[in-house]
Amino acid sequence: MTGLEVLFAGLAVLAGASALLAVTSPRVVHCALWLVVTLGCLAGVYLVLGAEVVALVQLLVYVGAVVVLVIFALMLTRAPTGASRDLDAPPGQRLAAALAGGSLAVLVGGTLMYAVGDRALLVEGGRGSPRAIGEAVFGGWVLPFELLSVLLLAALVTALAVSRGRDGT
Amino acid sequence: MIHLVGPVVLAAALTGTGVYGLVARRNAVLVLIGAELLLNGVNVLLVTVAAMPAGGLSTLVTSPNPVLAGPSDPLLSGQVLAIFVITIAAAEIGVALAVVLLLFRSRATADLALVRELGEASPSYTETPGGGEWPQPPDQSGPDGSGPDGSGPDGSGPPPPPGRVSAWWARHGPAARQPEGTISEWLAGSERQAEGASSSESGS
Repeated sequence: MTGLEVLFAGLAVLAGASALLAVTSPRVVHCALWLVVTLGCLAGVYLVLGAEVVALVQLLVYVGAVVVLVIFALMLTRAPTGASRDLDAPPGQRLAAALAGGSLAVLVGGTLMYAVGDRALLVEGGRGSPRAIGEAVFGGWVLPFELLSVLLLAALVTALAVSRGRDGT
Repeated sequence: MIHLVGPVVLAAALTGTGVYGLVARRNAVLVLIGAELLLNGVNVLLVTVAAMPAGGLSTLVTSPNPVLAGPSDPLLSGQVLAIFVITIAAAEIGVALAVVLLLFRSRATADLALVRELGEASPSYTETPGGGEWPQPPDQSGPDGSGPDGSGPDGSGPPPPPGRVSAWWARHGPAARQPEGTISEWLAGSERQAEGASSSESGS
């Protein structure tokens, strides 16, 4: 195993374990904080795979903005801070969820593992540098990029309109 | 050099975990955490494919060398699409959390198992967010004159004691409420309640 593989394995195990805790923890605040650990480890995974800009965007947008939004929503919906049994569905539904999630993971993972076999990847630095990403985004991807800005504007207006309510307060 | 099995297994594990979170959770915000994990599983796969030579997964067939190397895709499709997915996820969670807050304002709960029917004519719809008065813990009386109507969804009112929300819901929720005759009667009653609440607010 090379050094990159060891680094990747550590980060991946940490990300997977914290993701599992984020969906099973009985305390809502712990769920949000385990989500922070998962997303941070995934930023490290992107760095190992040579995608610097994606890692930085992940840190900025996910850890910086999305998790803060989630914690705000937990606060505003008066979620209980202690351990609560009301967060999980009844055991039958949880069993069905575990079956669905497990079978999906086995299906996706099995198919992709069969496809990639024992191939390895030579990670080259500079492929995800800001210069390369900028040239790609503002070159070939400029039209989807502009459409995405329109989507963000629409989402902003929608969030405001939905949360204002009927009487405009 | 890094073997491709690792990223692939990580992506599959994140996807499965996300689906479990989507199905097994009842709190609406925690369901959204599951959706975020699902999107991150997709992102791991996109970034992995972006590290492959131009052609992505098709180079698995054409390349005889077990170590994939070569010139990259000039458009950097994988990484750019990963950034796009992150942006769309941010927009999605913004709108979804606004919907969750609206649900909490009109139903006084974020529990998806309790929201069986939507629409303002359903018995669980309430004009007063939080269902009006929150339970006060018995050891401390209500301090300064923040009335029960001050407990809006902005968190300015007295917070409920932890762990008592479900008990309060069992006593005051729609299950404990006596159904009134018809929808029109119920609507008239709720309008009277709303008028009373607004007049008391303006009076104080």
